[in-house]
Amino acid sequence: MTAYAIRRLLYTIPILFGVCLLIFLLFNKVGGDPTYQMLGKHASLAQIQELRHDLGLDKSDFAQFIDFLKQVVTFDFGRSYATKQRISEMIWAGMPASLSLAIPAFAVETLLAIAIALLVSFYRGRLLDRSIVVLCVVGISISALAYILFGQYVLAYWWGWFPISGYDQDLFQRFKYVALPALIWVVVGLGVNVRVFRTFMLDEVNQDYVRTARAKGLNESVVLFKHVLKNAMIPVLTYVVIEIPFLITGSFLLESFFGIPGLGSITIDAIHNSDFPVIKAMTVIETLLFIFGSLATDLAYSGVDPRVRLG
Amino acid sequence: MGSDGWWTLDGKIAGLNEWAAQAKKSGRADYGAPISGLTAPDKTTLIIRLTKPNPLILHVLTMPYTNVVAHEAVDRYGGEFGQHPVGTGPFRLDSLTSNQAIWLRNPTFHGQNYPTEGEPGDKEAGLLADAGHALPFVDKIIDDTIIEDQPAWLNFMQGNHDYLAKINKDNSADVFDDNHKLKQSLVAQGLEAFVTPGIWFNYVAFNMEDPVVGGEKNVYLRRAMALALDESPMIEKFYLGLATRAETPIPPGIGGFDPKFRNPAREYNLVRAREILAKAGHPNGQGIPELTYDLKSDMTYRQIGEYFQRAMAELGIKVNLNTVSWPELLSRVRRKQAQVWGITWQYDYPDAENGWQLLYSKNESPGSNESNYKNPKFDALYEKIALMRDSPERFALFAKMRDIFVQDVPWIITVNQAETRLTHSWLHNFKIHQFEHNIEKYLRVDVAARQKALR
Amino acid sequence: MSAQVGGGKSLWADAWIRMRREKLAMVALGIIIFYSLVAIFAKLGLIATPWDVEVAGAYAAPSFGSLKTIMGSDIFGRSVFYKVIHGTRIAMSVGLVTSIITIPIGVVLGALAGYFGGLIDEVVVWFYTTISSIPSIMLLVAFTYVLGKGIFSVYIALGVTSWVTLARLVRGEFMKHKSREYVVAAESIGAGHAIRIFRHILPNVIHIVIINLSLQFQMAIKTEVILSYLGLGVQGQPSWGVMIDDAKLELARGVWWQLTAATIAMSFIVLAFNIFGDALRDAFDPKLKMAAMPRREDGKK
Repeated sequence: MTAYAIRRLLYTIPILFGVCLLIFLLFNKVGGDPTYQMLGKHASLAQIQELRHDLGLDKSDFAQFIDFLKQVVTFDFGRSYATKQRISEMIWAGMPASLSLAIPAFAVETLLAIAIALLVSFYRGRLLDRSIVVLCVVGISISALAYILFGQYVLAYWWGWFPISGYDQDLFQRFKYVALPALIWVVVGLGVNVRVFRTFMLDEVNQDYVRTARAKGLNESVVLFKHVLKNAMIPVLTYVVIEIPFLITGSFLLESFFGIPGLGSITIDAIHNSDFPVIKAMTVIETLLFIFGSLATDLAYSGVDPRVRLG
Repeated sequence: MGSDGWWTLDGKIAGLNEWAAQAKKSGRADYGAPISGLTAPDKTTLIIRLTKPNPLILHVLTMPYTNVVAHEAVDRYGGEFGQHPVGTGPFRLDSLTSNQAIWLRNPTFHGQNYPTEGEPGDKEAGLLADAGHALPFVDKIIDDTIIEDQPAWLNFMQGNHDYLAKINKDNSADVFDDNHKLKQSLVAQGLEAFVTPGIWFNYVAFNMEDPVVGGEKNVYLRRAMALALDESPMIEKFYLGLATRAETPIPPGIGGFDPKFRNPAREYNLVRAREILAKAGHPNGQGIPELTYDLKSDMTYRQIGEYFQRAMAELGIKVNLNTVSWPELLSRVRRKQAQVWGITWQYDYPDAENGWQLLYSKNESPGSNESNYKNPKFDALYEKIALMRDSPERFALFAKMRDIFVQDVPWIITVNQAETRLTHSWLHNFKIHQFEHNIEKYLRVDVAARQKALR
Repeated sequence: MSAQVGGGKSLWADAWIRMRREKLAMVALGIIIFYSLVAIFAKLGLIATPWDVEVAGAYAAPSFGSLKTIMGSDIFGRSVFYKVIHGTRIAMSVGLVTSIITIPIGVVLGALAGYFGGLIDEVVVWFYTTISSIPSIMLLVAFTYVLGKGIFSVYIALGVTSWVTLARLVRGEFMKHKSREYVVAAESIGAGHAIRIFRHILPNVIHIVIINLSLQFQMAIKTEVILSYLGLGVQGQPSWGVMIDDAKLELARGVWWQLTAATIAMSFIVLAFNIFGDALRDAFDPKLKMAAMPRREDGKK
């Protein structure tokens, strides 16, 4: 176990290196020189040279890469071109907003998907199972944008059930703003999750121990709840846990349509404004979250199931 | 020095450049250090001493770069001052997120009254009803920045916002009818539309140092291209009839704008354009290499680029569209790498100098003279008008500069875009002002009318 | 699983027989073929041409007067029906070109890594783990910035970012197969590496490519919509993404037909690929299960 953990940990080093190199190449080398954009309409040669020097753009590629690695390690990504704000502060400020949408939505989505998956595995092969599976596939096939546009127009504007968009600093007030985007989040994600969780559960249903349990005359629902659910939770959790780090970075479609000042909105804004330092910082953060998220998942999983090995 | 506003003050105020040099050397700006040209004898007086006479400084003083701010706040917040501004205005910032700013009435505001006189028509429009009253009228301003158009529009229509600052091109088709008036259905809902000529103009720029399109010898090509580009379909297609044809770098609303002048280089005359090309030895564009037109990656810019491409094809000139990101476009232009490109100039202050300086040789790339246009006669005229205030003599010099501009065709100037806003009927004292962006202090909300309308 | 030794044929025949029994899968295949034909005809200019002319006033509601106006018109009075057809052309071309880029990269890298193992494997795995660690939407954004915008960039960006799943699957299959008897036997009669990889093992794992293809197509189509929404997608052509993007404002004015038409057109093909992909997977190799299941379209909603 310890040996595996160490190996797994060491293995992230070349990945981190590769990721940093790729991001550096894409954003710093090919993404264009930001000096002119930053200095606005009236730039003098002296100003340009000075800014290039301040940004380290006059250094060698290697030195610039080292600078970039320093940024990644210290989490100091400089300032946004558009708002001149320190990017690390933008991120700290955006995180609570993203989380206040993501946590409830994610919790409801996951619990609901587990419940439905359990239900359909109880009725496996029958009409309810088949129709729910078809419904899931239909649900997946519709673009998330369509859900958002129709949901906002019909539920919020037309029927007036929810506010159209907005956010409140007060946690309690915030819920009314977060309700509709959270609902759409659940609808968009449910089809995918139910289908996957159902597979996990059916895997367990076909295991020997379940047959034995049934043979012992246990009630089917007891079998499902006590045995299948318990064992299926391992793959379900591994599948779900990998998404948790991403709750911090939020959902950019939902946040930008519903006026939630989270990291998703910040990213969209940055893409619209060609605000490269922000796009780069968000890319780095999401990537690091993914790498360490999967590292944590793997380690936890290997603790649960000793058969898991690298590769 | 890292500021995008340094050019407004560079070399203009006694001692300021020395102060900046010192700040650069020590790595820290000392806002307490004395500057010979800037003194404040008491709390409400600021004396500025210039290095040389400069009438434009008055405009500079109205720009956000020269706002008076509290030095205690600057000391405290340093680089984060932008998120914690403390100034002298009628409102103070209460909270700020990435998409919302909330402002509350400033209890220590020095006081200001609503103007008692206005432009012709203002009185009739009811804009002087509050004349002489103490500003501001509202206690709280909520400024929402909504990225997406649908929620912005729906929120406005539901009355959650009193006015809508952004009507984009795709939006305006639904807001204005074929006569470019607010649609009847919206008028019936109590909406009001404000349309004002904007102080920006669009143009197709040539790099005057480019061997194919630049220089004295290729003026025939630029002339032919300018004659072949008809801007009236552009106005209908891309600006829904709300833009006007641009003749010179002086847009309407700026001193020296001549409503009667028609730029002969910009009439639409395909026959003459073809003649010019043929006379120069390029009948049907033969022998002219493919041109590269750089454009910002944006739907409208793209469509305008395609329109330009089709217009040039009429002359037999092939144009390759090069779509690039905004920073990339700027880098290419300012490193003199671009050949032909589409761009917009927005005035910094209401003085024609700001348009003409785009052609002053000392402002060449990486400065704002992105076309790298150089003409000593033009330069001499520019240097004169830069030190003058608006007067018939100054306008006469503008006419001379204009004639050189028409002659040399460093750009194909196309349109002056309009600014548009929508308001609800319960919002009073609203007027678009191209340079004063902080109109909130004048606004008055008829709360009773709003409640009635929303019920 | 009896098919491995005898080469590819009976595996395919078996799978086909199994597929034939699935009515739903056959309907899905019919839809896919239909969309492909529409795309080809539109490409050849046989139908819905020209799409960019006025057929009615701006925002004319759907009417059954003529085929052109059956789905109404857009802001410029262009036929929404024609735009949907050309959107089909774009969507299918994005799926196709992306696959053409993805399959060689994925198969070759996956095969080399799985077959040779060792250092080659380490490098390939490192490479695809690196690519897949960066959220695909951010990678797509970066690529379109670098390459400029337009359909060409969409092809390249999607192609370069989406070969990872395929490479991973092919690598796994090669690892399983390389020590199987039939490969060892081939080696003993003097077959070189290239022959073993391409003639012996590849036919036995190529069905992975087909299964992955159905996934690839729908991901490409859905991603194109998201990219267009970000303003980074297809330019100047009527893709479904551009139509949905245009419709962001139309709905607020009660113009629902463009959004609805594009959404439905897209849903049907994605649905068909989903069902067909599931059926393929079940028919070829029920053990694959998770491999060919779509996750969310933009990595995170």
